[in-house]
Amino acid sequence: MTPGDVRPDIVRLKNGIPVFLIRAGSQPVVRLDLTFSAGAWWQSKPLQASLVNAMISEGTAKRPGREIAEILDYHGAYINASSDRDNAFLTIYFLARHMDIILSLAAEMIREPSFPAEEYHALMDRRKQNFLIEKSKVGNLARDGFACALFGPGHPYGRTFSRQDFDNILREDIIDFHSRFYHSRNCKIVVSGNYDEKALLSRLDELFGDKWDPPGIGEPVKVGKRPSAERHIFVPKKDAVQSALRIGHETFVKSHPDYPQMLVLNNLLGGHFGSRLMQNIREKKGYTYGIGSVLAGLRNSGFLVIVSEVGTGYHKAALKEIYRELDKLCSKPVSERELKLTRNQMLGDLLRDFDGPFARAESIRTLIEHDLEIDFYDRIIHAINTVTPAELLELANKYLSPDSMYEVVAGHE
Amino acid sequence: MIGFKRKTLENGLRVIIHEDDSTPMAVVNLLYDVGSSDEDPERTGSAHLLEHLMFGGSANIPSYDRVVQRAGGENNAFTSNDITNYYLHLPAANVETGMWLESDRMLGLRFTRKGFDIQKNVVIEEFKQRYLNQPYGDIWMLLRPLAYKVHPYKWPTIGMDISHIEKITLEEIERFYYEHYCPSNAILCISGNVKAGHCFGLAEKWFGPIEKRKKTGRRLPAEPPRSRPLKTDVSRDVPAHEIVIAYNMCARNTPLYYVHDLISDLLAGGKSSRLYRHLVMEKKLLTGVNAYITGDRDPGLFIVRGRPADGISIELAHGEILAGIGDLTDRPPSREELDKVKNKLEATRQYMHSDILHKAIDLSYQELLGDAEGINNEIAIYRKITPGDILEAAASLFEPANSSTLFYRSGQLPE
Repeated sequence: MTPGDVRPDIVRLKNGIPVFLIRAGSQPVVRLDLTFSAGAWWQSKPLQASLVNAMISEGTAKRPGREIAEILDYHGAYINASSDRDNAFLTIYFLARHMDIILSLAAEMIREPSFPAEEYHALMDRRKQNFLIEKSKVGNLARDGFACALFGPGHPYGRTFSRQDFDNILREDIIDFHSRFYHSRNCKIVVSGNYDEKALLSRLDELFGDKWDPPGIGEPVKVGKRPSAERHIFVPKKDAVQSALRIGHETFVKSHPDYPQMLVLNNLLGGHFGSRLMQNIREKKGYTYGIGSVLAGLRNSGFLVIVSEVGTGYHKAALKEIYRELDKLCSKPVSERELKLTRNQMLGDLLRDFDGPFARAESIRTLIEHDLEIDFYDRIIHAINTVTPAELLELANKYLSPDSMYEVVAGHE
Repeated sequence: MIGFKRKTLENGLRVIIHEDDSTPMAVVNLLYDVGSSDEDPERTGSAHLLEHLMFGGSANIPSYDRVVQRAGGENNAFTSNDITNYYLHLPAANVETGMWLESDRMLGLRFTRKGFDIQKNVVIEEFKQRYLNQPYGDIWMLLRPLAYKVHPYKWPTIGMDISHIEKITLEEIERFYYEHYCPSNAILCISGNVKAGHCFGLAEKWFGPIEKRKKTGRRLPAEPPRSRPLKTDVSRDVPAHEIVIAYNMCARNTPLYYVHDLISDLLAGGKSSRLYRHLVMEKKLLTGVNAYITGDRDPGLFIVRGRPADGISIELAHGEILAGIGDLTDRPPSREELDKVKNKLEATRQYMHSDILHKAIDLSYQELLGDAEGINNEIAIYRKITPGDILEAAASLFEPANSSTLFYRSGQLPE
């Protein structure tokens, strides 16, 4: 099986909303995914995107949040509203026999949220407290420091909001953001699992198929990128027994021609348990419980990052080894043997990414988030099968040179 | 209905096969009936350290990970108080490779002294990362010895203290391995795009020749009944207080277990639950509340956790949580409220059983409890529970004498 064999059917509602249909699985369960281009990239104030998304289940024109929670719980449905730098998501898992009621509730939450003031303030209090807790973790300090170093303060990818921002944002900002970004031209739907396709589509058309795109839809607020001039950044955290490391730099979007082959290079470097970073820094040296690297794609950018938390006494030694591994990839071609292992492992991963209805939904949603076609996965498979040691060496020199890296360390001084 | 076939080999290994042809993949799951409860109280953390060492080379295979990688597989493991579970998720065509790998690890280990020392260090870093360097990370380190005085559940799986892990010797770990990692102490489950007959044949081929080995019996000291409530009060450098209440509850293999499970959902399972509605949304005294059972085989814990909102004292919040719990016996659930938590539970199982990995783990665990058929039968047990059962169970479960309370305060007050 290849991703080409599990191509979803794509149907359009009357108003043009694309619906990706994945019929699979042995249990009578369904996952509904609604995706909107409504992440942090589009907001005019920090926190806007994530608060809108968190509020949609707190009340609608037809019923209070309490009732929504009752209906979801009574039917054993799970709702997960989340947002990231580019997109906002509403995901609901439910039993196929409850399709009617869950779909109409989803439509209500998306189209007619009432953003009740009381619930809004309660949410703000919870978020404020949670923000402080998250800020006390070295991993998050390093992550935020790294994002800010790459994109600069104020930039939507820079993750630089503060406690103050919770006081600056108003309920009106939330309502405004919803009206500009949650509309039919900005919406994509994935439905996966075991369901009656005809019944589903007719219900979706009734609930989401009319035109609901107001005039004056949103444009992102343009904030220029201001990468840090300083490449080595230290974030102090008193008495931390481990230091969090983030090493990397800005790269590119997922549709970039180097992306598929870079994925292979990243896998060799730190993409899995057998990778060079893991084998050296955990399995040979024992400096850490885990280390890895990620090639992240954003809608308008991307980055490569090495991530680890190491014992406070080991952080200098760990950094030295990390740079050594980067140097090695830049100076010596990988052996055919190592490359073959990586190819097999990555192909196995791809199979797992398409195994079962919900994993498949996740993989299809990735395409939607980045405006890619299904041939994206075919290109990745092609790169996995054909990339040569010489090409990887060239890519390493282009993207893995130690001098090009930002280095962020959060921990005890 | 999840269908399966099972068989016990001569050497005592129990084998379960579940066929699911809706996937091109297969899972090889191996559950060992050994956990941190089986440890020497002076060497806590051994079972988990051994889990790490299981990846460091076996009788005939120097690198487990290499082989897994070549077979396009993904693997991991977890250790609890009761069990150690290893799983391998790989293309179904490579299922024999998985059986070969797992049988070789049951046959014998061959990690080096250097590998042993390094993994000790890795586990110590894991200890720091997960328990020392996280806000609220030491809650279980404080709670377990409060709730258990005798039973080995009094220490956490990672180990009671870093010094315990440091003290473990290679010889001790080898002994622990030979005592517990024998065929009759394990359950093998294969799920996915496989044929039962073929898999039984493979199990016989790879696991059949492993010598039976004597299994060390397990005799854990029972936790005596409690006569008074216990409490610990600490201060830490965290942004908000947290309250944890643990009630000593029944064992996994008793009818009451299912009632306790439903009670936890009534109280705080989801946003329509009683404590969430009342204390988070209406009174705004808490920013979050949670109730769950630990699900251990021996008598476990019923946990209620709450985080007071800014400006709310820990004492006030605690009183309100207790009142909310007490309310369950004053105002028993309606049939509809009870149906709600049952529906939720049933749906959760359905979601979980939509992938072969969770099915394999669940089948193995149910077999350990006595019968893999439990995977299909448990919902009926939940369905039979009445509001009267809830009332009766809650009254004895929430006896104050039965509670251990942790006040985890925000601030640098002297302890």
